Amino acid sequence: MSQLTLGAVSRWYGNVVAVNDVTFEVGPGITGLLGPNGAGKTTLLHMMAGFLAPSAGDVKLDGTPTWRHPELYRRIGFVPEREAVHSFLTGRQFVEASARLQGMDDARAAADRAIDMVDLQSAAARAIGGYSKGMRQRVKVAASLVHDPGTLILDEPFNGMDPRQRLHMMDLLRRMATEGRTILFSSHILEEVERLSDRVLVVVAGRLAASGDFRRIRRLMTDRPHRFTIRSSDDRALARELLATPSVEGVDLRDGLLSVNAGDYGELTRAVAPAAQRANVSILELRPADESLESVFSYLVRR
Amino acid sequence: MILTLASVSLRGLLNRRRTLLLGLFGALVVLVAVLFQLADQPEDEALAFTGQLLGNFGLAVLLPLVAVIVGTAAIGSELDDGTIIYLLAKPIPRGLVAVVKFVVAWVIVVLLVCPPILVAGIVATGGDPDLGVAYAVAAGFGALEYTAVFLALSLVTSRALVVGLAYVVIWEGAVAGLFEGTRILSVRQHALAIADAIGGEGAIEAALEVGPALVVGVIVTVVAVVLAIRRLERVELRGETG
Amino acid sequence: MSASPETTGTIYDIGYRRYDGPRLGRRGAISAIVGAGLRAVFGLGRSGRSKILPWGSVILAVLPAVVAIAIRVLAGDIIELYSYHNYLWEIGGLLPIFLAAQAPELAVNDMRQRVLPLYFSRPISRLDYVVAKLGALTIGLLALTLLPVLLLFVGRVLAAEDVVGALGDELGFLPAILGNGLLHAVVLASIGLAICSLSGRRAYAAAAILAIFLVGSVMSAMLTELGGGLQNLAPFAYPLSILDGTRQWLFGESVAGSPVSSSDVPLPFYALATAVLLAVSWAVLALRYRSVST
Repeated sequence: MSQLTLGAVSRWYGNVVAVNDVTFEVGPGITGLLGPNGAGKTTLLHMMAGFLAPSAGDVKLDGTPTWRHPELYRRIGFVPEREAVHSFLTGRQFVEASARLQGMDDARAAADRAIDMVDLQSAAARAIGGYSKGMRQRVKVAASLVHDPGTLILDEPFNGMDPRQRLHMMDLLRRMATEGRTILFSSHILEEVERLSDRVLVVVAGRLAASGDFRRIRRLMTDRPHRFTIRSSDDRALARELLATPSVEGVDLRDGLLSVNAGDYGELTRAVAPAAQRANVSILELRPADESLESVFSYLVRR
Repeated sequence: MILTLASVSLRGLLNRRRTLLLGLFGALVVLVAVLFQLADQPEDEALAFTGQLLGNFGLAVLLPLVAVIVGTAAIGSELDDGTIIYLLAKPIPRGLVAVVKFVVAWVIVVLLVCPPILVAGIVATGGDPDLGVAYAVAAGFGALEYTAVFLALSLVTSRALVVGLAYVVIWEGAVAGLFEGTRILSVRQHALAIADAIGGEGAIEAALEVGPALVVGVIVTVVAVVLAIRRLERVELRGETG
Repeated sequence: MSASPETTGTIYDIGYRRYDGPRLGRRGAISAIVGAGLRAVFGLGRSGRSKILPWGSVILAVLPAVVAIAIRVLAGDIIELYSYHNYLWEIGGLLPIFLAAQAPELAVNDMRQRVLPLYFSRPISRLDYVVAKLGALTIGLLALTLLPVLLLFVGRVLAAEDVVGALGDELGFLPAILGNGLLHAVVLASIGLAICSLSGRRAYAAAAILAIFLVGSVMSAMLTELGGGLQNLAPFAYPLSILDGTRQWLFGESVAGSPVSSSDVPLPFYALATAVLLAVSWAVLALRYRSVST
């Protein structure tokens, strides 16, 4: 259950295409939707949450289209990006109202639980108008999960949260994911996505540029050499040996660090140890320099 | 569920500043009536003046002003700042949301407009409630039409308040006064006709018969509410960034 | 003789540069705000739609003067549609409409988009800012309160057979024309800007301005009709009639349709009321802009 499917979804506004022929499936676990600003993340999320109709293709939750099916909201929790909330209500009133509108019997208890989950007990009796940005985000999240939905969609949920709040929220989301929920969140901050998601969907200029585990995506980027940094007892000697290896495309000695560009990831990993032995050099540190989400991302964006 | 919807909408519409200012306008009507009493005018003048006061001030100025501000804010303000999403992300048919908001807005307009008109009518005539009641009921009916139209308007354009004001000032004020044929489409004339039918005694100058006024009024209200429902069901929320 | 080869090399510093030239300072900043304000008031630099109301109002305000001149030229001195002292009363409704349409454009956008801290971290004080905005709105309003009447004046002089003699005759009216135009512009700008500073949304500010003038106009009409002493209160319910009374006190000449003419209030009271209006508006503005946090 809780499977979101997009089939060849496009969305345009007149001449501007916001989302271009996107197909993917989101299942249980945490999926991060990553993309630069204006890439179409919010448009995608709003379509998945049933607030926008796709211009082409279909967006479904467990087989039912999300557009104009309000009964689906029993199973969906949505946290929009826009800051504004009903600021004349207290945090508790807002979450409780959310519970009641979801048709829950014991709205008060559910609201209390949700408020505990986001750690907002101390401020729950105050009007939202006086909340800080981080508190407002938390109350929005509380309202979105008060009815225990199977699917959670969050648009830039960590906006305005301080590091402690962010860690707390990430823990919460991980917990919910292990309970079998489908969680989809968007961000343009790479560390957040890297740390939290099992899967990544990269959206660039309205198109789906890549999907899956980001390390695997990196391996697929064969037209770019892999970069490694090595610290050893004698960088120059090691560099000389490595240059003799066919898979090495270039070395770089700078700032006390040896950087190696290799065309074939596997070949290089096999060649490093013998090269160090031949050069009589001990390797102190070896790390892939560009297998971060950032390099994956910048590569995809520049394509 | 409905109660929660109504309660949230009510609280949203009745923010302190707005209610105070609109209440003040109502108080002004009563003030004029009080001043009239203090001026100690002859009895036969009282009816004519009260008709003028309640008609030209109450129905023609107070009612549309309050209705346009409350009616366009009912859904409009939440559409504007994006908080409507919290009401739509619920397993509630959007049509129900529209209807509840309409009813809440209408109730607020009635509460802000009808009591001042009633009181002003009683005060100005020195205790005779007939005109006051007639105009208050008429205002209640006019409020139905105005609120429905402005509610629908707020779902059609983001500048609903300005357009609504333009409608009141230009259409109701000038055009409908000039061209006979357009009177049937003027909410003000509908209300006047109803007031006349209830307690006129000749003090009210209504340009329409009450029958057609009622019918057209109800049609306008129903059409506007249906339009609002349809548009809310299809409204697309984009969020701030694309 | 061969040219010696280039043996030296330089790297050019094309990075960040400080500005060391003359700075316009406070006066420049103020005139910039006034200039930008005028552009906002007349919808310059924006879409065509935002020009309709301001320019339409100006045209409608000037039209009667043009018509009056035309009649005078064609048919001589037979009827006097407008005179200098009742012109502003006759075009009455246009002034609040222009004010309601344009004052919010001038003031509310800055507040709404929280640009004010940017303004106040420059070499202008809050007073400068408010005065500059008031100045811009006043100048804009002069297009309706002064321009048409001046046009009437010029037209009358030029349409006469003896231009120089006519100039001599009409010149006496010039102070009243200028004074009245300025009076209306300053007071209306102050009221309008004060109302705008209290609201966060343009539409509400516009509605508030319209409401005050609309309700005021109806109330003063009703009170005048009531009589029995109430007609003395009537003019004070409506800003434009307060201004008319002040004009009458300063420059003489009563206007037939105005509540002022039906009331027995001694004229200085209107001037007092105007002073009160100005004081209240300016107080509101001062308080409002002082509390903006930077």
